[in-house]
Formats: sequence, C-alpha cells, structure tokens
Amino acid sequence: MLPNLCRLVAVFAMLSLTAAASAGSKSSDVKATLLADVTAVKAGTPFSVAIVLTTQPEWHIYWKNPGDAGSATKFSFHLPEGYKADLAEYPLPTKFDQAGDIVAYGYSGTTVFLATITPPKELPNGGKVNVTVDASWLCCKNVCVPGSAKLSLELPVDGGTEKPRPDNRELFKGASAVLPAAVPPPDVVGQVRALNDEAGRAGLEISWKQQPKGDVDVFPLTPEGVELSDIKVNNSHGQNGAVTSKVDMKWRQLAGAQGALKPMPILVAYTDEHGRRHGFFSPIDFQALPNRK
Amino acid sequence: MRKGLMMTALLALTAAVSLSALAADSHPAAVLGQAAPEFKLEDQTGKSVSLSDYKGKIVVLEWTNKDCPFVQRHLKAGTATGLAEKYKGQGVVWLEIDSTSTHNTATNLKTVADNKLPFPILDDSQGTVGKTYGAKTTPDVFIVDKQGTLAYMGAMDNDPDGKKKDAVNYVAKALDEIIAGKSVSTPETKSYGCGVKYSK
Repeated sequence: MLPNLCRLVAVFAMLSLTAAASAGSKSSDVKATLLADVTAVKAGTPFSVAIVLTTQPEWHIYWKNPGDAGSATKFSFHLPEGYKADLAEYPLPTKFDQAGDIVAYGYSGTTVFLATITPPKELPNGGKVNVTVDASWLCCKNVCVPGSAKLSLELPVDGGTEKPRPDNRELFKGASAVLPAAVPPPDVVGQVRALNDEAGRAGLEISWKQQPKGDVDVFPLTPEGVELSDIKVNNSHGQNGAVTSKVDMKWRQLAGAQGALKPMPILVAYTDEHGRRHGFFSPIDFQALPNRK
Repeated sequence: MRKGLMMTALLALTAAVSLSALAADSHPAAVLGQAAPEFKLEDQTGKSVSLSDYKGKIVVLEWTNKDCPFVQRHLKAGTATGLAEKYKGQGVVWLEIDSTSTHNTATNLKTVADNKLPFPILDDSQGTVGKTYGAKTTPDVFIVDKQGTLAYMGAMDNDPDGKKKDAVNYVAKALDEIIAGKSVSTPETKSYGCGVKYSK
C-alpha cells in the first residue's frame, strides 16, 4: 500500500508559459514547480506547499511592490471546499537599479514562495485532494515577458499519522528560515525609531544588537498616492562598537491623491554573521509625522 | 562675422552649461504645473519635431516601447489611437516617444506602419528627453496644456492588467477637463508598465 501511495503523490507541475513561447525566446522562461511538505493530507492538520520559481541568469521577476516599474508576481489557489490557503510573506527581494533612476524590487535565480494549506476538520479517508495554484509574473531583462503557470499537486487523504516528506524538508526549512519577520526580531534589533528631520523627509533609525554584515537594504511597501525618492541607508559605528543604520528618503503625496495616508511598512533586509539574508518589517506612519503639511 | 562666431560660442557654452546642470541633478526637470521642458527629436521619417511646434495646442506625450507587454496590450485595445482620434478635432496633438536604447527611427517607422499609428513616434534612444521628463515606464503619459504647462503626468489608466470593467482612463479624464477649461482633478498618478530601457 505504502509504495503505491508514494507513487500517487508524485508532483505534477503543469507549465503553461503563455507569452514566453510567443516571444520566441527561451531565455525569459521561468521554471515553475509546486511541492508539498507532506505525502498525505490529514483532516484539520495544516501542511505547507512551496511554489518554486527559477529565472534564467540576469532575468528577474518582481516582489509584491515591483518598485518604479514591473508587475508583482501573483498567486491564486484553487482548492476543494473547506480547504483554506494562506500565502506566507513574500521572500526577501533584491534591488535592481536600472538606468534612468529606475529602481525595481524582485528576484533573480530560484525563489521559494510558501503557503499554508489547512484541510477541513473532517475528511473521509481514502480520497484524494488536488491543490492547484495559478502563478503569474513579469520576467524582465532588456525586454519584459509576462508568464504564467498552472501548477497542480495531488495528495491522498490519510487519517493516520502525519506524513512528512523527508526529501523536501531542507527546502521548506531553508525557505521559512529566511522569510521576513512581521516585527523587528528582539535578539537582533534593539530599537527602531521613525524619523522626520524636515518636511518631506522620512526614515528609520535602527539600533542593532547583532551587527549586520555588509549593506542594509530597505524595500518600502509604498502606499497608493505616495512617491518616494532618494532612498538611502547609512551605517554608523558608535564608540562602544554599536551599529546604527539610518534610513532616509524623500516622500510626497501625489497631486490630487485621494483618501487618508496609510502607514507604510518598510522591509529592512540585512545579512547575519553566517552570511544569511534576513528581513523584518517596521512602519513609518506619515500621519504621525509632525512636519506633515 | 565675428559677432556671429561669438554668438555661436555663447550658444554652445549655454548648451554645455545646461547639459551639465541636467547631469548633475538627477531629478527630472519636468514639474507638474510648470512649463513643460522643450525638446527636439526626430520622428520615424527623420523629420525634426519640437514641443514648441505645437504652441497653443494640447500635447499628449506618451512613452512607448513596442516590445513591452503593457504597451502591446494598449496597442491591441487601440487605447492611444482611439483617444488621438477622439480628441483630434479639439486641438489635441498626440506624440509617442521611444527612449529604448536599442530602437531608432527605422524601428519606429516599422512600428508606426505595422500598427497603422495616426501619430508619430519620436526617437529618443539617447534617453535625454525621457530622463528630463522623468519617464520611468512604458506607457508613461504627460499632458502639456495650451499654455505649455505640464497638466498631467502618470499612468494611462487605473488598469495595469487590462481586466477592470470600470477602468478610469486618466488621460481622457484630464483631456476632458483641460478642454472644458477646468483644472485637472487627478493631475498625477503612478505610472505602470515595463521600465524604460534607457542606455546605460
């Protein structure tokens, strides 16, 4: 019985690279696969799936805020009734500086997007469940090519014990370890202060407990109707060896922008002593800034 | 004769100074509510076109790149050609500008012919005008009113994927308001599309 089950759970990834094919260029192709961290579904027990997207070298796809140009990579889940999908935070992006002051945020190479699937509390034994994800992206280098894939995964329903997949364990562990944190991790960051030195400038002052290696990068989730420019991060070393990062940017509301200004989450990315990149979110509340006109 | 030489030297100096000023300041010279920067570019036939050629007209400048899927979506939908046609009789001139470093008048000529465009594509493959205006995406639209003032800058519409049923075309809305003598209610939006592929 067990070997049969294992064969059943082989992952099918159905790829449909729509526009990439019509452009006649293979280089813009994005390889897309869907993996699960279990070999069987158990009623009421959440499991994880990973959408793995791989671009060709020098090509990139986009973060949920693409930056000045581009288009966010998007996912939509199709599950049987009673199942719930929660997409995890998007993985840490990198910055692509392009000619003409164009800054884009995204991913090059292999990127793992995670999601948690929660099955209903009660499930009849012996059935199968199909998890389908529609993934879409814009892949750019010197041209941009939209692409999409319908990814499917079939898992048996087994009421017994949990069935982890040892072959995928490292991938899931590695991907979840570097997911951006919702708040600054207290063991790494001492304090984060929102700044506004003068009208139209905002930023963050980050006091580190653990000294970050190399550059500190920021990725703002710019609210609608706001324009940011001149985003800079400067590190300074205090007398006691403490490191402070000062994030500075210009901001303004677009002319005629409607509605109240929402606080802007900023993803701060840093490299730890083991050379691993991490990130956390910290907000700037434009409304709370005293110099707001 | 000497006076002519002096004049030429002075003009060259002024040009050099303004060019270096432009290079030193990375911020675009185009500012909403201020005079739209003058430019001189070649259309797809090699004819020189300047903004000042259209004094007293409403001029729409649309950044384009035939290779960009967002531009292709609008080409297919006939967005720009439809608007250019609709507002032609009301003193509106539509100009497309291509700042893609690998494009030139020959590729622009082909794009105009292939898509039967009723307006020219101006060659800005050097990227100078694009950077002056701060054009970041294709499409990215700027509207210059009859007084030569920049009255709108930003997206073509609020529908990057072309899927909304109740999409608002910001350019049509701004043109209606300008023609009616009203102020533009949404004068600035964040443009969307592919990044302009400027020369490095």
